[in-house]
Amino acid sequence: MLGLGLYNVHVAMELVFGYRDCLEDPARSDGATLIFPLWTVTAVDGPQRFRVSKVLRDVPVVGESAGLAVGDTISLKGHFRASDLTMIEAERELHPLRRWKERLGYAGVVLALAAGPLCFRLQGGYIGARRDG
Amino acid sequence: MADLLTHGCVALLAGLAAGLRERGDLAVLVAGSCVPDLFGQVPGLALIRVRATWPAIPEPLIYLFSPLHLPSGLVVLNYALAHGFAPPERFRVFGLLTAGGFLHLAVDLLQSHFGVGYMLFFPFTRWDWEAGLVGTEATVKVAPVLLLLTAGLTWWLRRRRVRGPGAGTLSPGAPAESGGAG
Repeated sequence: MLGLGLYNVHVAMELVFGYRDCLEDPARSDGATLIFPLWTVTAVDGPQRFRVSKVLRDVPVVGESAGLAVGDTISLKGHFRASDLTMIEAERELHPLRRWKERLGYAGVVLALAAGPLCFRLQGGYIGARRDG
Repeated sequence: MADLLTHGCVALLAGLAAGLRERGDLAVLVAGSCVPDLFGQVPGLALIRVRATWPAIPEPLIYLFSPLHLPSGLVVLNYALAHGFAPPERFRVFGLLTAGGFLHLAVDLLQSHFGVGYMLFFPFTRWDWEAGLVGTEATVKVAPVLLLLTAGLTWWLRRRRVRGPGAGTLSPGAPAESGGAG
């Protein structure tokens, strides 16, 4: 498991091309395609500028910011512009139901925690699934 | 990822449709359907949030858990989790956990993330795929219906079992009135 995890770290940090790589060599990355799935809007700087974050913080985006608010979840596809290190938005998808989805996730965890003792028991140092139908 | 409630309901319905009737088996299947998110997604998402206020958290940590949301990581993790159960149960538990996990992945593969799919054959290749049939929040509208359906079906099966001896079990040849058909 650790091996898989460490290899994935290598893949994510070294092999997958992203905004970080664009910053390392902006001139060469000019026009490169960038995809930001499910990022969070962290600032709205003007009618055509906003910033998004996920693992990387406050990546500048040039695109329509009307209707966007800090905290919104958005997926973006666009290309890198070397002159000002921004992403030029070409396509977007807003995720207005993202918070509800999170709440459903929490509800699932609460239900699982409540149902756990009804379905499993500890017996002789092992977990046992209750088999009483 | 779809939400845990949807994954749990889908697993329970699939388990019932496949003829599972024992509470323990269904519980392990449902637990298996939650494993990919609980171990493979939640730690990374939590670290991203914590890192927003505490940047000292090293970035590689965020990626460390992601393979547990992929087939290879899931199989290894479920093998480890099955060892929490008594030896005679391990094989069955491993199978049910893994079935639940793969059901989870199947549901997630329906989603669209702008073409950034799941690396199904990681670590052998970085090729990724997703069907892109539904949005990432499509399950929010489906979840209440699924929850009602699951609760209703579970209640109905339990009621049948209480009413007739042998009902709700998988005894071969049992008459339909006693619940053998499930």
